[in-house]
Amino acid sequence: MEKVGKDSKLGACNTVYVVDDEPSVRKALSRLLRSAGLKCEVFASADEFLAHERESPAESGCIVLDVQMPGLNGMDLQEVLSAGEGRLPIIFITGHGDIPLSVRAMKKGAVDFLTKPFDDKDLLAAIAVALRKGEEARARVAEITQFRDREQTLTTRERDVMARVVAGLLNKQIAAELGIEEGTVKIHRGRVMQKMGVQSVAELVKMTSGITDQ
Amino acid sequence: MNTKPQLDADELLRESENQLREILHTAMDGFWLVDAQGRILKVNEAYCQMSGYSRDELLTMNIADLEVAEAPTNIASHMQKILTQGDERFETQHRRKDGSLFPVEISVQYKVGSEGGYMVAFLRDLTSRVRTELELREYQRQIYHMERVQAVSVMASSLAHEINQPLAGILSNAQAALRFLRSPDLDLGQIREILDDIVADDKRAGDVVSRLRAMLRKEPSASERLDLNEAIQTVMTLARPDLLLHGVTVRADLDGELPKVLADRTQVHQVILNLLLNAGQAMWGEAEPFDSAQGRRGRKRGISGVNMAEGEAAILVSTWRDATGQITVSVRDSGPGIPAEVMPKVFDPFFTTKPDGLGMGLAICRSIVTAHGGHIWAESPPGGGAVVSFTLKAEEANAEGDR
Repeated sequence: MEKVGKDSKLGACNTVYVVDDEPSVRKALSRLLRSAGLKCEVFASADEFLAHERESPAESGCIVLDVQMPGLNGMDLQEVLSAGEGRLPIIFITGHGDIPLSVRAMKKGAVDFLTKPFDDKDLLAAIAVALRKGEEARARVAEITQFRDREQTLTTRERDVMARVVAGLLNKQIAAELGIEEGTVKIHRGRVMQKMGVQSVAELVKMTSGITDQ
Repeated sequence: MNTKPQLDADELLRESENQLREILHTAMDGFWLVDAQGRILKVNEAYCQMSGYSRDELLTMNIADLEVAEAPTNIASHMQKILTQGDERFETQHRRKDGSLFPVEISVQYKVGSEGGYMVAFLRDLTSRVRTELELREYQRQIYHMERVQAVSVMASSLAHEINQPLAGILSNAQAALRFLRSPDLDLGQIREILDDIVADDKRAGDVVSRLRAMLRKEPSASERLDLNEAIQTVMTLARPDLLLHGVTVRADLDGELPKVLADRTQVHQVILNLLLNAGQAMWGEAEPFDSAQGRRGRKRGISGVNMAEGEAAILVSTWRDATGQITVSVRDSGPGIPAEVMPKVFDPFFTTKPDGLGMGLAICRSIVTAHGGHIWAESPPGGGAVVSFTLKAEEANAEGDR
């Protein structure tokens, strides 16, 4: 089981945002999370959380979200936040488990769907998964940003060459397609590798494939 | 035109007498001709059937031999009343030959003929009517129970939700306390706070269970002093999770100065619950549960004049007291309203617009409210939505009325 908390890397800089209209659940969860060494902020409604997000958007962390709430309910909030692409993974908690509902929530990317009352181990395990997912998503975003930044430095010709290298064409074929010398292709190719910060074609392919998938 | 052969007066009279006898003989109702002393002079077949006596037996009998509900002295005074009044219509009981009793409705007229006064009486056996009424009442009682069971099943999920909240609080608090206890810098104050919260949550869960028990009670409880606002809050708490799940918000605008009413708690709960669920269901039809926030906002809905957001699927429960001491409870929704052609029928039993509805919800509300001496009515105001309101008398008003 994954561990979260003071001693683990995951919990160190992450905050768990608890959104639940039940005061006693908020209070208890906040204690539980603190007792596990996690930072925690609580919100009584989806709107309250959104207001906080507008003020100071959370960089990292995850949301423990109640399904039934007055105003925007949990599923609504998931919808609103889905534009954020898993920036803040969601763990749903609900007063009565409803299978179609949980399926729907999971399909939309929820990390877990826990029925109240839930065990601390289940919640903390889900939080660990959520924080790791968030971490991965952030790393992915950083990678993409880096790729785009480096790609910006390429010339049009270098970009043409890169596209063909990634597509698996040989230097000779690239030269023929672009109507240039094979030696020139080699030079362009070397610059692409250098500018994109990769050592091998395999690395370059991996980098671009991840991005075109997004 | 055909002309019948002219009959002489005697023959005409005889024929008319025969017709009369025929009519009396075949009539469904019993027939008596009684003299001023109460002796039976004539009787038809229908009464023989009713009473089990033969015609010959009956012709030797007196009213007093058959009458059960009235003592002989009362019969005499009753007959005196008929003599002066000329006619009378009343219900009583007669005894059959086998000793059993049957309810009978009597319509009697006093006539004075050549041989003195006599009474013509028609007697209707009410046994079947009474039985039908009893059956109907029993049936109604069953429906009540059925509706309540149905309402309870709707609420079972809400109750699960209600109970799971404090349970979640208790479990997380207890597990947090266990973790704190393992930490080197133990803060006993914090542990005490946690235990206080656990106690509060536990009591809350217990309250939910006893509310459920009250709802499931089958026997009608006696009238008690009831705080209507409190009853509304209780029912709202129970119905809220289900309504929220369908995107319907419930709000209350309650008159804080409301006097208590004398009423059956369970039945009043049922009326409020039925009205809330009705109002909610009026809007479920439009909004799929968990529609995206945008989809729901896009819909044009709203209650004008009260503080509900435009387009919100909402229910507003309000209470107030008017100058006559009547308390009005009003449940207003922001649904499509009630079409004019449907309006006169909404309180009829078995009238429903829901595919799976029994059509008893509002009918039961009406019979409960009426039994408590109140009124219930529905409106579809021009601003949209539907409003169902009912009145109950304030406790003081009742007391004054009794004096």
